[in-house]
Amino acid sequence: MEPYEKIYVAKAFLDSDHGQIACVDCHGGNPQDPNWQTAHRGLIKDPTFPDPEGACGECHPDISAAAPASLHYTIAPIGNAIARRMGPADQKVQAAMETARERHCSQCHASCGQCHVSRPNYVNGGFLAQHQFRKTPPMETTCASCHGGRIFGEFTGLNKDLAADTHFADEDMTCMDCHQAGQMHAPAGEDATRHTSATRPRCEACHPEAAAEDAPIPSHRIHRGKTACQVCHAQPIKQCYSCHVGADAKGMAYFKCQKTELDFKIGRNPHPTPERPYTFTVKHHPPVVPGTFDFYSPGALKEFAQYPTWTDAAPHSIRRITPQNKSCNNCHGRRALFLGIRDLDEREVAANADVVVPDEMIPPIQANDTGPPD
Amino acid sequence: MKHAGYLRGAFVIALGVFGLPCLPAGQPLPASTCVQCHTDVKKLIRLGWEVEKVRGKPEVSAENEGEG
Repeated sequence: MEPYEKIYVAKAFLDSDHGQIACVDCHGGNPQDPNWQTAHRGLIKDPTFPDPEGACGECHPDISAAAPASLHYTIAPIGNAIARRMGPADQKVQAAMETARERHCSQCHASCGQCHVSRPNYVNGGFLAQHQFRKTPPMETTCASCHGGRIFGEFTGLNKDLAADTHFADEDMTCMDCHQAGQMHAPAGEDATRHTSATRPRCEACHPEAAAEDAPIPSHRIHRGKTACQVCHAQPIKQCYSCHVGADAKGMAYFKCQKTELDFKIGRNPHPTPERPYTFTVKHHPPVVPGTFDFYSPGALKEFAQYPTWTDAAPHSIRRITPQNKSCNNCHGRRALFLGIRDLDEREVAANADVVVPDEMIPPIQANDTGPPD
Repeated sequence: MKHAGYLRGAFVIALGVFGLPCLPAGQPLPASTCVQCHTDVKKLIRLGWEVEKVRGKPEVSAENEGEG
């Protein structure tokens, strides 16, 4: 976006409900001052962060009270994963890691304004629609700004040789068709993740017949409760390896991600619950290594082995037919589809002990497989 | 006294027809410098050049590597 486009306000905005509020009421500054440099002193670029109740609470009390505890606002799962890999740490290490978290991780949090008014800070902002508020954020300029590295590409078919997610390609669905306001604004517990949140999207909400005991498709009956839906219905997803973060000589944050690849790995579910009873789930490799934060605090992730580096994925590459579900034996007996020791860097073997699939757990070849070959 | 009654009546009618002039409801807000500048593309472009002179262009670290 050109700089002026980012801050141009449409006259239509002034006629809208939000346009009836004086600029200064939300943004501060001095509206009587004709000098732009002094007029913008004390300006609040995003009045909805960190306290959305002050800006939005009068008209949207429930949402603005709940949203600061939502996953998008806190991005707590990232902080929790780092904390688990750190273990107990002295104040110096904690302070250094807090700097790293603030400089790198926290850049992706989403406030009310960064979804409904402007692009996220992570991509340097800019109004979505000339300051007009968008009740439903446009996914290509909001969601994709932070989830563009993996999810958006999978969903819209930007990954080489892979089809777009069927929900996007065949049903014209957007992110918000599954991730509705009730989920996005919901407060999450301290240990919540997108996989455990009570308001997460559920395949069976739209496909109840597939999850039913008497599901009409035999494969659904056979695999019910044993494999997550995505194990059969997801295509390869982007896996990232070995990222290091730091700041350059100018003090600007950088990341160095050594390798990304499209791959598909099925792993064990280390902690089955009644909600997620599966033996097998699709796994995603976040780019962490023991030295990811060494720039800030060498060796800070001293409990690296305490938390898997192959974690449950949320693939957005769903197809009805995939290479692994074309026939029973496209998956059964296929060692390469299942996460094994040889897929691991030696530094992460211990961390993934409960996630790798040993040979004896690979589903056996089906002698009566009548499905098509690959 | 009779004139005073007429005046009061006229004032009440005027209120009904024109509304209270100080109430902002339904009325455009008085133009502030914020509105004057941020709704004027030409001004914003010119100011953008000035801002760039003062603050420089936004940069990202040249040390970034790989996909993020």
